[in-house]
Amino acid sequence: MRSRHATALIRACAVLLGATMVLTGCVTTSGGPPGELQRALQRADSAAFTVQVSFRQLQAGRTLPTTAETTCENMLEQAQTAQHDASTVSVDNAAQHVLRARVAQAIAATASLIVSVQDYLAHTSTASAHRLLAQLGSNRRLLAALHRRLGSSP
Amino acid sequence: MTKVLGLLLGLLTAIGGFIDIGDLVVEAEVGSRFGLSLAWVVIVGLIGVCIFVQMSGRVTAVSKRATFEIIRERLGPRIGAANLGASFLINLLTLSAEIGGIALSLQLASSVSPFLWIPLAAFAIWLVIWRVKFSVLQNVVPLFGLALVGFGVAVFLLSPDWGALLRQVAQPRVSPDEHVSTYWYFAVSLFGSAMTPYQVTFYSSAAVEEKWSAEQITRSRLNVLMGYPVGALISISIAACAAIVLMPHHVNVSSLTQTVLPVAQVGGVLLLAVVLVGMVAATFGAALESTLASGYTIAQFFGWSWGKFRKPREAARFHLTIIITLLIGIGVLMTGVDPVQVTEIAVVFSAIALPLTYLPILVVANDPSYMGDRVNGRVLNGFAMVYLVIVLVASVAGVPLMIITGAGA
Repeated sequence: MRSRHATALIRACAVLLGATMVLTGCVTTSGGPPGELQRALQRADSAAFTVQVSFRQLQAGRTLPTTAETTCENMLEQAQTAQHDASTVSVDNAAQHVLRARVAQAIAATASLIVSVQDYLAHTSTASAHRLLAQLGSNRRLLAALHRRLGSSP
Repeated sequence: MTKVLGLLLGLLTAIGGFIDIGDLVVEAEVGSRFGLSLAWVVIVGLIGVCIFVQMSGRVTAVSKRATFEIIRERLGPRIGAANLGASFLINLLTLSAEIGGIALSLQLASSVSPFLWIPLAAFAIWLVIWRVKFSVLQNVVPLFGLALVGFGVAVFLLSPDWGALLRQVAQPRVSPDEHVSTYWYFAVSLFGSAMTPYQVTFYSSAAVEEKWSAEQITRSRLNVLMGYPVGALISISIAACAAIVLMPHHVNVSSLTQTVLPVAQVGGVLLLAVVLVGMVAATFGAALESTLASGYTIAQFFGWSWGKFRKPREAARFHLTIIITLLIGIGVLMTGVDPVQVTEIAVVFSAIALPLTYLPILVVANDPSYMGDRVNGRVLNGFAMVYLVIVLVASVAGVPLMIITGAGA
């Protein structure tokens, strides 16, 4: 009697675990490789936007230099995570392979721009603030274009 | 006049004491992804925590004993141990998150790595617990936490479309970019954050520390019932700031730097500095409370001498527990784990452990052998039962939702 109950319990747990795993697959990896690349782009864009706004605030004297420096540090980590996520996506075909490379490249550019802003804040760069902000803006446009393209890809 | 000032102080303390690292992280994340469509959870959690905090304070005031002592005696060592295990582990996780919160807030003001701040913050917590009077500790630190009202000021300065914000509150919707399960995962997180168990343990033990009389219970009830809702409003205003500034740009909040971005945008350096003071104070206050709560739970369960009203040498094991808890907290953070992630996990596990911490309080509050004729009334029991059902649902749903959504990823 006891063993029958135990078997039923094990079965119920297995069903629950199976259902959970299926649901996990539905959500965290939804959209297949294009969906995963889109999420990496989204993360990189969040980082780029945050740095852009914080840097603008610093130029306008609206934030503390320490806060802007911390923002860059945190967002660089985000961009690097996004880059890692994008480059480890398993692709199904050659077209997706090309897209993955372009996404990883665009996110690498985001990370590189954040490092440039960090150099500017540390006074170890000759780049102008205006130019850095413009580059961040164009990088975000590139990320958005790739995001749209992935949205329309099969 | 002194009475009025005392009341005001208590009220301000309750407002400042409501908010901790969980609110600072989760509210901003929720605001940037769901706008104000989860504000209802804060209100539900607020009512719940008010009900159980008051109940626990009343149990202590009537019986003159802390809740944990009675729970073990009334429900036996087995259920008592389950209650202790759940409360202590959540306290430990919360404490680690709060120490991390202090370090991250100080990093924003200094750009010094949080890993350098963590041991200093823990040492400061120990020093304050060791040296500072309980009344000062309980009233002064949360008072500075009131500076977080800067988030509310920022909402007004941002001049949002109030109609749109109110619609998000009144007609909650999940945006097409988000999955329904993610919405519910964050609902559970916010609920856990509002009903963090350490608040109940701390409140009940504070009643013993300060030898509350019936008059003080009434005053403290007033403070909580008026102060916590204002604290909840500040909490919602953190989400509102993120909803107004970050949500239109699809920013996923992953750090405290993004939480303060809207504040600097409209309030400049001055408002940002005020909010940073509030963040350090709120996390420091919550760290003090959760550290003490860890000492209280263990000492009360094992029947050790405890409390700040005793000299440290008279409550040596209580103070040793506090030191060990702080060292474990430092150890957890020094593994390199992201304090923001620790916070996110702490609030979900808070929700999961809620039945183990809240059910025994309800049982004791209905036991005439401890409460005499001051047992819960029908209305209060009705509300408490509804909340137990909510707590149970949140508890059961917590882990599956965390797995399904990849912890809200």
